[in-house]
Amino acid sequence: MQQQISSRQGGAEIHLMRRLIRRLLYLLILTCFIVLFSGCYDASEIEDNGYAIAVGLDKGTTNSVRVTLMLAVPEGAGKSGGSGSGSDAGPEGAGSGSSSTSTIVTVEGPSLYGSMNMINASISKQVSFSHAVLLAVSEDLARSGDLEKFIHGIERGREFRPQTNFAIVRGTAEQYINSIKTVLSNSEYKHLDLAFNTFRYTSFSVDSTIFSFYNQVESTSEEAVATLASINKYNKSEEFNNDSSTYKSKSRTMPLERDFYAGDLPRSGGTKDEIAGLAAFSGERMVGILDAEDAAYYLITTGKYNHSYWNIPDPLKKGYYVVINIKQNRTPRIDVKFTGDKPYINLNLYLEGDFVSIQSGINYENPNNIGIIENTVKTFLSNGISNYLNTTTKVLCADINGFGNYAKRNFLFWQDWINSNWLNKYKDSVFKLEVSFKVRRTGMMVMTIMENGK
Amino acid sequence: MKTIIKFGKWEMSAILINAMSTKVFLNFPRTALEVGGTAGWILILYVTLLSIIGFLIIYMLYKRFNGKDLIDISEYLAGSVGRIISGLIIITVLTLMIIVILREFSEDMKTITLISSPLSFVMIFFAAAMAVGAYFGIEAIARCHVIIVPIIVAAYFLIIVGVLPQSDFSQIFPLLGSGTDKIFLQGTVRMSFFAELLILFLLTSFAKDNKTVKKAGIISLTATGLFFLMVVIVYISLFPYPSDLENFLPLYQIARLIDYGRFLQRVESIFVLIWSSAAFLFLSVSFYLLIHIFTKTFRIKHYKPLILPFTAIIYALSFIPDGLPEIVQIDAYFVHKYFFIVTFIFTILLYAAANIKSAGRRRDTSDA
Repeated sequence: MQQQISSRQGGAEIHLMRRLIRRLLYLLILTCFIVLFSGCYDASEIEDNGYAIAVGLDKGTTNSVRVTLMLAVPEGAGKSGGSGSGSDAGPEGAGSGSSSTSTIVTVEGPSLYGSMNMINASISKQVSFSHAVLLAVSEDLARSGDLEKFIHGIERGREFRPQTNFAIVRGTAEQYINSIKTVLSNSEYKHLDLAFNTFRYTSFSVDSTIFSFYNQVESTSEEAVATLASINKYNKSEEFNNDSSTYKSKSRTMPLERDFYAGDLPRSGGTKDEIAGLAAFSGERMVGILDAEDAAYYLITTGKYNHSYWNIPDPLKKGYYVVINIKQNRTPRIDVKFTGDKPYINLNLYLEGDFVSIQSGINYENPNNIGIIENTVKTFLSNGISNYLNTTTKVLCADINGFGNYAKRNFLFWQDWINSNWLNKYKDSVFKLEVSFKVRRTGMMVMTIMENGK
Repeated sequence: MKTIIKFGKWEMSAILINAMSTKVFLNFPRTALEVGGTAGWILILYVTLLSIIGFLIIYMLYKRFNGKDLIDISEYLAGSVGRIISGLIIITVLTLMIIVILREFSEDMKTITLISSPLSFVMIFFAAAMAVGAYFGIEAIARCHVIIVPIIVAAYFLIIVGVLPQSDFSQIFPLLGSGTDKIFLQGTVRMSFFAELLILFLLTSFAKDNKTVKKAGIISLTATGLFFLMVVIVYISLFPYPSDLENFLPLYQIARLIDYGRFLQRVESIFVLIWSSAAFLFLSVSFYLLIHIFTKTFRIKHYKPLILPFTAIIYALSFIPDGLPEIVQIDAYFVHKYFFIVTFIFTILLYAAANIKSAGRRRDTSDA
């Protein structure tokens, strides 16, 4: 009996001991969690990082590359900083331009990340590209073909977002970044974010991101394009001239709004930075630039066009325009066939539009007259697009539209496709273009009454 | 009284779907395109079909041995020697699978999020999850799968659907990619994409009945094949071949592309969450089975005392590969190239031999 009691007592003690050990174990685990999950070990607070808004790459004079960073200045910080520009560079080559929400630093180094190291060593925060909204590369660097030294590193790194806008700058990227000022936005970040998306309603430029550019550069069926940006060359309206407009080469008497490259738009005031046109590449080397009208045709023919206003010369009254908001009705139908080695490209475009303004007051809304405008628009766009396609085949020799993606359908095996050498063959392409255009709406008016009721 | 644990088809399917599909978060889409080129998706259709056929053959042979796993069958065939040989083969395969997944997930986690943390520190969390899963046992693991796998699948669909507007499906041309030889002859070994089906034949003793095994096998193979197909097609439509061969974490790169203005972007954070969940689940189940098979092979009564030493061994073995490129190579060119031999060929041979022996015995009995 006594033995039974002592064995029961022993069992209770073991049970108690087990409970104690279990509780101690839980406590140990909890302590581990508190220590390990608190994030103190390698925590990186927002204010510990210097977030680059825009990154500029130029050819260096003392080293491979000149890197210009526009860094975000958090609210409340940097209030005492003076304003300036990259040209205010100190002896180390680092300058500081600043506005209320950003500061600019320029360095020269052997690579982008090497230059980032140099900047990290000179500013109090660690530079991060994870919120960069723009990567701007100078035309000079892009034309030299040296871009290949940097673009793979950018893609390999986890820092740059794939959606970061990619632009080629006429002039230097350093000057361009220094020209970016906030006027209608609170921050440079917002300004750039919105500015590089204006193509959706202006069609002055294209959608070019690090992701799209890199894929196009690596592609076997298309060449790369990038947004064309620059600093506007005019300070006052008295300086405006049409010397650098492309209208003469299009046999026009006066420029239309898209007959310009970035930097040449006749405008003053607002911000100095400007986006218009596109830069075309063959592989990693830039081969040419196209104006804002060609950028619109690029968008239309690739199906990336959204809508924008177009000034169409009035067919019945010279010197007058019919303004139409042209939209893409359906994605283009593209078919590529080969006869021998020659590519034949059928391109069918489906567009529609709404009247915005009829300067002449001619009653084009009338169903009997509407066809006149529709045919005029068709002819206008067909001629423009034909010229654009001709430029891509004969001048640029670069399939920036990606017709190769359709040509690939003629091949069963990858090796046959590679042997076809499409990117070299593109220049011999023959196009058959069909543009369909319909006026769908006439704005808030269904007919035009002239002055005095005529 | 010993509790008998039995699963239904959903528990079993969830375990298998996660085990086979975990690789979509890793290097898998790249490997598929490396083999098939632009026809990587045809390769997936082909190996999925082959794997389903392979599974049905195994199931036909297994039917007579209801509830018997590979170790039981080996013992039936060749006694203790058979049991130990089969056990060692399966232990080797599971150990390699666990090492590859543990190291690869930890390396990837370090590359994309925990860049400043030491690898040993990152790996501790995966190893700990694996040990905790094994400690709580197969029932808890199965229940966790049933809850978490649908969430992982939903998040996976979100990522795939989220990038559809950016997809360009003309990138799947030329249709036959690297060529019929590479797809249909050399590609046959890529049945190894479904190598984790082996788990099903280790879990048969937990299956309610034969039908559960059959349904779980078919459901999981079909679902996994579909997930593989989706990710390969979407990946190639976003990253034109051959530049898509550059990325070692295709689904992460896909997730980074989701951008719907300021409202929906940077969803790769969801990716990291579901990705680690899938890894935790896979590691738990395969680690549990590793210990389970070890105890069964060597007739050890209790498995819990083995958890810590096995965790330490696996943790230590995971450091053997020099770096990420080496572990990616082991995964793509060894584990997911040759493991079909164990999952399909070894299993078929084992069950076929057992059937022959069983038929022989029945004949002897009837003759007598």
